Formats: sequence, structure tokens, C-alpha cells
Amino acid sequence: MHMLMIAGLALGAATASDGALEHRVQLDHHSGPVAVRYSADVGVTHRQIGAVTTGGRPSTLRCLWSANVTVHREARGNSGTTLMRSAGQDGVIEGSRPGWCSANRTAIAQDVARRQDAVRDHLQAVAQEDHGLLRAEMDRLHPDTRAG
Amino acid sequence: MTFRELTLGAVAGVTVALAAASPALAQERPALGVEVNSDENRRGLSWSGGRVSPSADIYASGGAFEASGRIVALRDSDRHGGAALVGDLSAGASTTIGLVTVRGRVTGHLFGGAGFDADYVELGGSAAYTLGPVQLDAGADYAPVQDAIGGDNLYVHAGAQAGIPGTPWTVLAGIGHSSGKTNDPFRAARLRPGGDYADWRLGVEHVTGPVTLGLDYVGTDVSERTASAFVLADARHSGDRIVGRVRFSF
Repeated sequence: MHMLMIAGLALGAATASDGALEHRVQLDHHSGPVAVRYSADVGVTHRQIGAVTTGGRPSTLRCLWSANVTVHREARGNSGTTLMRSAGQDGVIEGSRPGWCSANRTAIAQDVARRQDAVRDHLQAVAQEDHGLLRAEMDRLHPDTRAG
Repeated sequence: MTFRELTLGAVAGVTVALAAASPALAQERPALGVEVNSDENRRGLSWSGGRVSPSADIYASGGAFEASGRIVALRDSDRHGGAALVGDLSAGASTTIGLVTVRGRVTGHLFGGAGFDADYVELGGSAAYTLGPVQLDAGADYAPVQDAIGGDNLYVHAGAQAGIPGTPWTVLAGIGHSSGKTNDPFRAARLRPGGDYADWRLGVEHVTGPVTLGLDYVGTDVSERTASAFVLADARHSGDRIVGRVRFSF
């Protein structure tokens, strides 16, 4: 009799680390526990729009900025297996400031830092979505052998 | 349908289209600003009779399209028939080719409280080259023949602005020239007091967060003696002056 065993990953105690841009979870897999670390790189792009205007026209010079977040996953199993993956998304946080981009870079960096909650939310959402993919990758590497 | 209704309708239509058609507008939310100028000075001419003038403005862009509105206190402007205020409504489009942005727009100037029908419309085009914190621009604004301005009016201009690296300071300079055909010299004096003339501007600007402080020297080659023959020329307020401004953007 062929018995199909469900060889899934049971999500263990998912505890976020204290690190601002890091999320760690412990996943249970039939091959053994898997330690997964998600980390986020934040890149900021700037775009100068508008013009310095005087005399009857509102000054439209502004610096549009957009924070792009790349989430890196590093999963390590007991067997020494390491599974890595990265996923990037543009425009996780956006904003603008009056004036030249070159004069606003420090202030924009502070704006991004102040809105780190949004980056952390994005990091955790990506991590949540990744569990299914990680499960599939682990199953491919370690097929369940308990079949009778 | 009056010119005012046409202008308001056109700008409102563009604004609604911007909001409805462009997802980019949601990303680039409208920019709002309030400003106080020591003088509402345009093309070297005072529009507020040399008096302090508060204003408020909004600017929105979506994709290639942009629209702006500005309402300015003119405080019984001699130049505009005693108008208490002017609303400048503008709609246009721009495209960027490399480092050059080309813009086209139509602007309606709607006056409130003027002693005659002072509203007029003009078409404008400009090109701006931006490299880092340096911007060079040139353009022209043309107001077709209209009774309100006693003929037509062409304004050509060029300017340069540079942000000083590592500082909140911008220095700017500009020149312009106004010319046109005159059908009614009294009305034409509103925009060209005493005939064709040139204007220039040198200024500095300081931006700290949402607050912009500006100080400009503006001048013209308008002859006060020639201009004084026309009431709407407001000859006393058509020459050299220092203009300060405080702006809050949000």
C-alpha cells in the first residue's frame, strides 16, 4: 500500500528578531528544523522635477524619492542545506521634498529612517509569502521517504 | 459661454483627467504652497502696486500632463483696473528628452474686482536643461490679440538656476523681453508700460524643509516718463526693486 505522507513544513514559532531590518523564523520540516533569516536592503532613488520659478508661477522644484526594498532569504537546514533567494520591489515608500535632490539627500535619508515600520511590514509580508516557496524547495531537496 | 467659463472648464477638465487617467498622479501627490511676497512682481512689473501680496497655489502632475492653480491678492491693483485678486490657471504637458524637459501650457489669468473685463489667456512653451543642481531654461509666452490687453503680447525669457552643493542655497538669474502689437495703447500698458521693454532678475533662495526664503533684485528698462501717460501702466511700480518672499510648501 502506498501511503502518501504529507511532507510539509510546519511553521514553528515565528519570532521576529530585534534587528530593525531583519526577520528570523524557525521552521519545522521533516528533514529537521530550518533556520530562516530574512533581511532587507533599502535603496533610495531620487528624481528631480519642476523648476525654480519666480514671477507669477509657483515654484515647482521638488525632489521625488522612492525607496526600493530587496529582501534576502537565507534558510539553513540541519543537513547543511542552504537555500537563498532575493526579491526586490520598487516604491515601498515614496515621498517628495521641495528643492534640489542634491541638497535634500540627508533629509530624505531621515524620512526613510522614520518610516522604517513600512519597510519592516514589507519584509514580514514577503517572508510570509515565501514560506510556500521555501517549503517546495525543501521538499524537492529532501523528498519524504516514509512511504509504505 | 464666456472666456472665464471656458478657461475654468478647460483647466478643470485637465485636472479631472489627470486624477482619473494617471496612476502616477497618486504617487506624485499635488504640491501645495502658500506664499507671501513683498510685491507681486511679474516680468519686472508690480501687479500689487508695490504692496505685500499673499498667495496660495497647487500643482499636480500625472505622466506627461500637469496643471496648476494660483490665487494672488493684488490689493486694488492700478495695473489691472483695481483688481483685488488674480487666479492663474494653467494646464499643460511636458516631456523629457535626455537632460532636457520641454513644456507647453495654456494659462488663463482671471481677475476679480477689476473695473473692466481684464481676463486674458496666453500660450507658453519652454525648454529646461537640468544637470544635477543646475538648471538652464528658455521659453516664450504668447498672448494672442485680446481686448483686455489691447493687442497681443510676446514674452521671451531665459534663466539659470544653480543650487550651491552642500548648502540650502540657490542662486538664480533671468532676463526677458516683452513685445507685441498694440491696438489699444491704454490696455496694452498693463503688460507693456510705454511699449516694448526688457526685464532682468538676480536672486537667492534658501530652502529649509518646507520653508523657502527668497530675495530678488528685479529691474526693467521701462521709461517711467513714457509709461506715466497711461493709467494702467502704473509707472511708479515698473522699475527696479528688491522683492522678498516666504513660501511654505506641503
